[in-house]
Amino acid sequence: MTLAGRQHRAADQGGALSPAQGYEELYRAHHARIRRLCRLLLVDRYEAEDVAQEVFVQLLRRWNADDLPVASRAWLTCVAINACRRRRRSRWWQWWNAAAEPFSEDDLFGEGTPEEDAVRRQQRRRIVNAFHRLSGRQQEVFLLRQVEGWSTQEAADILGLATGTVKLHLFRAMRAFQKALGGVR
Amino acid sequence: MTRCLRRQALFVVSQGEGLPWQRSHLMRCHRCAERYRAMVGASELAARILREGPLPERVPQPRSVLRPWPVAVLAATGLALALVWRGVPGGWPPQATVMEEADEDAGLSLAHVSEFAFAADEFDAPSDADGTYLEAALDGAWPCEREDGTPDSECGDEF
Repeated sequence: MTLAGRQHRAADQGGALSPAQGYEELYRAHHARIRRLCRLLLVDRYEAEDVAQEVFVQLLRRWNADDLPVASRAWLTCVAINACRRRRRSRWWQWWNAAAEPFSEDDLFGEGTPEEDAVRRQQRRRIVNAFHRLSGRQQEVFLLRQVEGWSTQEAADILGLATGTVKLHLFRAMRAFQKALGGVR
Repeated sequence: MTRCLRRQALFVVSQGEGLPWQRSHLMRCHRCAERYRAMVGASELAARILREGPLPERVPQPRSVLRPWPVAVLAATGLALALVWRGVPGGWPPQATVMEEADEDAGLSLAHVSEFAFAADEFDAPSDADGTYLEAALDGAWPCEREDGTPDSECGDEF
């Protein structure tokens, strides 16, 4: 299915552009979400920012060419995921990813009692590490379905997969998280 | 049907699908309800952490930069270059001259070693025409031979 087809199929409530909606408005509405999505997929903050900028440059080109996507939210998500996928395929990214742990002590919670903090720290560490051990597809599916709240059909349209494949990836991702938290033996 | 649900069935129910009997079983069976809650709870917790929690940061690990395959490739390339370099006729350095000198040296030193090791004028080996010497040697003795290995002419009669 083409990108345009995917955009039309993806139900994008609140994401369709009105004639008065400006580029800045779109940027404000989606930039933080897209950057976070890229950050979760790529981990590196500068690289994520770079990819997010790349996505909005593409949007600007479409805007200037008066060829705006009908479903901007789905279109931006689709472009961002494809851009992240291209980055992850590159050799140097794989090398760098293999030589780094996607977790930092700087990112920890600092609220509550020390005991609560310790439990949350451990949970968070397990979840984040489990997420980064998932395959690329499983990460994408989990982010779209569970984190961003797209439906199975919408996620399938954005990723260009069959709905059954989306369900399979989601099942495996959920199982991995349950395992990481000690719920599956 | 009272059989407990498989993990896949629990997942299907969690996605708002599943058969009526599966959903009704889930309402009745405490064990399946517990498994269902664990599955959905882990997923929701993961989603919440990834959605709202601080974003992960990349921390480079102290890992050896030298990996086996680049080292092997570099070594093979170096070896190939060295072979090509030395094998080019008239190339630099003038390897033909060097090789000739080396061969001459090797020939001289071998001749010296041979001369020293197999000098013919030190002593005569005992003659063993009748096989006596060989026979005694096989028995473990060295007839007609002094401690320094020279023949002893006075013991010839014993054999």
